[in-house]
Amino acid sequence: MGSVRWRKVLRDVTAYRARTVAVVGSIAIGVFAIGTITGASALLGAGLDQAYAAGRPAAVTLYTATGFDRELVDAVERMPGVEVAQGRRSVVAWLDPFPDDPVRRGGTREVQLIALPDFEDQEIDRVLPRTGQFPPGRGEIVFERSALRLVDIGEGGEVMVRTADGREHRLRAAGLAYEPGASPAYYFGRLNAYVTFETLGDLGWPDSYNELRVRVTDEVTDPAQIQQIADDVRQRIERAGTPVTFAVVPSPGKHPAQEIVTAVFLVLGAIGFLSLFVAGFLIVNTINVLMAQHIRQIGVMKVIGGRTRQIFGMYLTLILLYAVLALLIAIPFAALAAIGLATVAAGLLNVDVSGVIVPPEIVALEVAAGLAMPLLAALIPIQRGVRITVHAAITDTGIDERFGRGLVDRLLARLQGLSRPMLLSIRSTFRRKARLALTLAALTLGGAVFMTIFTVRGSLFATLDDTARYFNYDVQVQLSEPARATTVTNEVLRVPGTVAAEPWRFASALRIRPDATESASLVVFGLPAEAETVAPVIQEGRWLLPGEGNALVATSNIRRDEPDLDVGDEVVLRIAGKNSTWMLVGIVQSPTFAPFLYVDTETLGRVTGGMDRAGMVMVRTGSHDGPAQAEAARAIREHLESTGIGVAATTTTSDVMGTIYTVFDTLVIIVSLMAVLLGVVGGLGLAGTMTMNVVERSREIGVIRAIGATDGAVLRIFVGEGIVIGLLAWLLGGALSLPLSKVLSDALGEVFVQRPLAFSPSLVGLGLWLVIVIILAVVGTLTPAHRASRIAVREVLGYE
Amino acid sequence: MPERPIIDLRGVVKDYPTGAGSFRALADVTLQVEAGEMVAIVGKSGCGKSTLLNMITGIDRPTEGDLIVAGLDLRQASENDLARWRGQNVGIVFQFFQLIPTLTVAENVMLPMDFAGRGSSRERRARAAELLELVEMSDQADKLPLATSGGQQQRIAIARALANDPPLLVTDEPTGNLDSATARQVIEVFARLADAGRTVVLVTHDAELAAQARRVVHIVDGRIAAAAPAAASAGGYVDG
Repeated sequence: MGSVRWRKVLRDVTAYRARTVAVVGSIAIGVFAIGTITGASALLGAGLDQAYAAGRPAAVTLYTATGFDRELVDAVERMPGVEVAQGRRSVVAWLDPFPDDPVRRGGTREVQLIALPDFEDQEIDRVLPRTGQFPPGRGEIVFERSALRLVDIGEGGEVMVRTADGREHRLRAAGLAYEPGASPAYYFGRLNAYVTFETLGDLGWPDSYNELRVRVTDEVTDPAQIQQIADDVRQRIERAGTPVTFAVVPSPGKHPAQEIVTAVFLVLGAIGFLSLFVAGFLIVNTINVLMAQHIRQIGVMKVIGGRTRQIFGMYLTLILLYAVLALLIAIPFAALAAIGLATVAAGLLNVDVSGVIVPPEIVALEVAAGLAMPLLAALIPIQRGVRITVHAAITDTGIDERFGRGLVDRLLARLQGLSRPMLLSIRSTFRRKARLALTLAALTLGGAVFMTIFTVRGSLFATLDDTARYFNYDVQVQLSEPARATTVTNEVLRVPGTVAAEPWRFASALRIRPDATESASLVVFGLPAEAETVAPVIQEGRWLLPGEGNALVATSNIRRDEPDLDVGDEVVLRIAGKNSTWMLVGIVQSPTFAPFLYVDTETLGRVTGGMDRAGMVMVRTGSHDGPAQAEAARAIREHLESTGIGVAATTTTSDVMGTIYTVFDTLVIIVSLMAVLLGVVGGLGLAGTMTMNVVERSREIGVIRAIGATDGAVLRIFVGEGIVIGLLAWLLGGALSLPLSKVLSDALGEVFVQRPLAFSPSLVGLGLWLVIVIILAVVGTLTPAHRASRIAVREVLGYE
Repeated sequence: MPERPIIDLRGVVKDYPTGAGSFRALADVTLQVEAGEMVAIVGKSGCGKSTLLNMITGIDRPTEGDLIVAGLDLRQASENDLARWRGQNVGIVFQFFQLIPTLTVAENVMLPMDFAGRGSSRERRARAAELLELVEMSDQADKLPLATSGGQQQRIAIARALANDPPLLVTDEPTGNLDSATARQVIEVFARLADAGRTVVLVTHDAELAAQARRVVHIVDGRIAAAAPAAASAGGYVDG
């Protein structure tokens, strides 16, 4: 920067620190938002890919009702398209993690015990060692690491495992392992743990498999081909006399969480983009301030021979310097935040963030956005500023005489009944309408996104509440094996605190489509037609009627895979190897990701064999809070076991909802932080506007002071103006947040529950933003207003 | 063929639109100034002095009439042509100095050379030092303008106006914002410049300054009322 004019540019950066901080800060915030979101998305995406690759995931998983042996696994492995097959046994038991702790003893949790045939040589859905001893020896248990989020299990201690027959066994907690392909423990409130087949035998389970995991050869990539192999394998093992209860064929080639992660980051990305946009408004405003302050300097430079292009270059370089400074600040902070965000999200998904370096393409994106946005935003203000004629520049009086011509001005002029300073505040707000529009745009957008986030959060929770209402029970008791329905409900109702119990049954079904192809596995629930423990929201048709026979109701998300289904259609289902025909009478709102089918329990009994049987019992308790539900679940389990009815698992709605709330709250906190950043950008914008107003109206301030306005009066006029702008922005932002939050909650709803969320505008968000915007208005205006109040009359008479 | 006057205005009219209709600031002004002349333009506030100066410097454009200054037809020139032309041909000194506050005294003087791409960096610095010596401001070269007095700032502004060695120096109330002692110092600088053969046009209320001019042009209501040698005119000139 040898030349004098570049020295001037450099000094404009260093001499006006407040302005530099405002511009650099707003660019940095925009870049930070974009960098954090894209960086976290990239890191998490890489983490998911790595987890997917490390886990060597199964293309097909089949769950069977009875055990099968190694021979059948070998037979499957020889089938065309199958690369490798593995048998496993997984069983559910009850775990007391602290049997020797006098305080914590007795706090049981469900644990899924998984036995692998060979822990050393794993080729499919691998379980990787983490800490402690691996593989577990006989009498030892190794927990999947996500268990630590639920229970603080110490290595080397003993845990108590209680089986369905009520017997208790002590196992040594040998270490922690990581299964990249497994759902994290807190998703279902159930811990995953690994034991050997010997240990499982000691606990009373047979030495056979009940899960078959299959990987297909590399050439098979088409989902339809994989489904065909799954069907072939299913038929093969059913031919061997092993009924398949359920089959899972996930989307090939990507981690199961990838879709949701992509969708969530798309929403976050949209917010990041909005913050960059808001920052752009701020740049326009600040550059306008700068040009207003420099108008005389520009005039003088032109007088002494400066050409428009030269001066344009100077100011553009100034913006570039601001941008570079902002990038220097934003890039490292965004990298840290991206790593932090990715780590938190990875923790929720039970994957590892791969590496701690943000990919170079993300840094390139930050640099591009950080340079392009301010240059684009500043282009017009600079061009307008430097194109001013010398005459206009050097005769600029600083008094805006344009007020009074438009309709708004004339209406405002009629405003009566307020104090003169208040009238001045209100009318002055509308003097520079373009600038007001820019400030309002920044504050409105910031506020709208802030309020949108609250509304989306409210809508998420309203949807979850709907889901909780849908499952109109407190405890779901899954029996080890079907039991007599009347006996089990009577026994459950004997437990103190229970008020209603309904026997349900469930089966795995395949839809046989009109073209004879099979659908993926579906869960069909058999329930009494007059069941009260489910409260479905009917979307089409109607609910089941008592004594109706083969009527069928499906949740709306059935259409994701079976789009041709309509009310009135005949539907062929293969249940327990037999085809039966049902009439689809209704479609209900889907409460969860997986589609459900509902039929009359007696009719299902006729198909599956065994009347008056229940596979599960839905229980309503007198008290609906979490501890009461947990206590009821424990009491029901103990009572049923004491009467010889084995309980495989119990689930309380509080547990299920609590887990979902935790996951959503993390999302909401992240998004709320973005909203706060947007608020800061909006506040900086307001401060910039007010600074410009003070600069431009210095002469006017002098006149007001000359006719007797005190420091306080000048301060009140400008702060009043800031509050008027803040209130306007609040009103506009509130209005804008309605459509914005509707679009966003619909989009998120499609991702999480395949339907729009229950739209629930947030009054809390509205109220909170009102408080924030007034604070921003006062704080943002105070400094320039204070400066205005300090301007001496003498100064403005000679003011340039 | 006689040499063309450095300032040649013929029938210049300047109208400004106002809310109450058009206001004529200059009416049919014809004025020639020869190279090396020192001319004072005087008149009451609002009579059109500054407008006339703005015409001469190309800061503003006439509504009618012809004006050729330092060889350029100002009516035909673009803003950029005018900027370049001013940089090389006209030095302007304002009443309120108009120095760039973020540049030092010497850098303010170097800025016009920078815009004109004149000389190397070293030559510019040497030229600035020479000009500051001329206005007796060498000892303040590295200070920021804010750290200097009004009179000093005006002298810096004169040095800056001379940076590209323009044949024409134009000043608007150069002593209007200065105390009488400081004003006298500034007047001396202008007198020296005129003696050295530079064309100087100054708008002033200051009778003492006007008396330094070879010719005084009186403006009344946008018209040239009289043009007389300074000695005959300055003594009787009083402005309200």
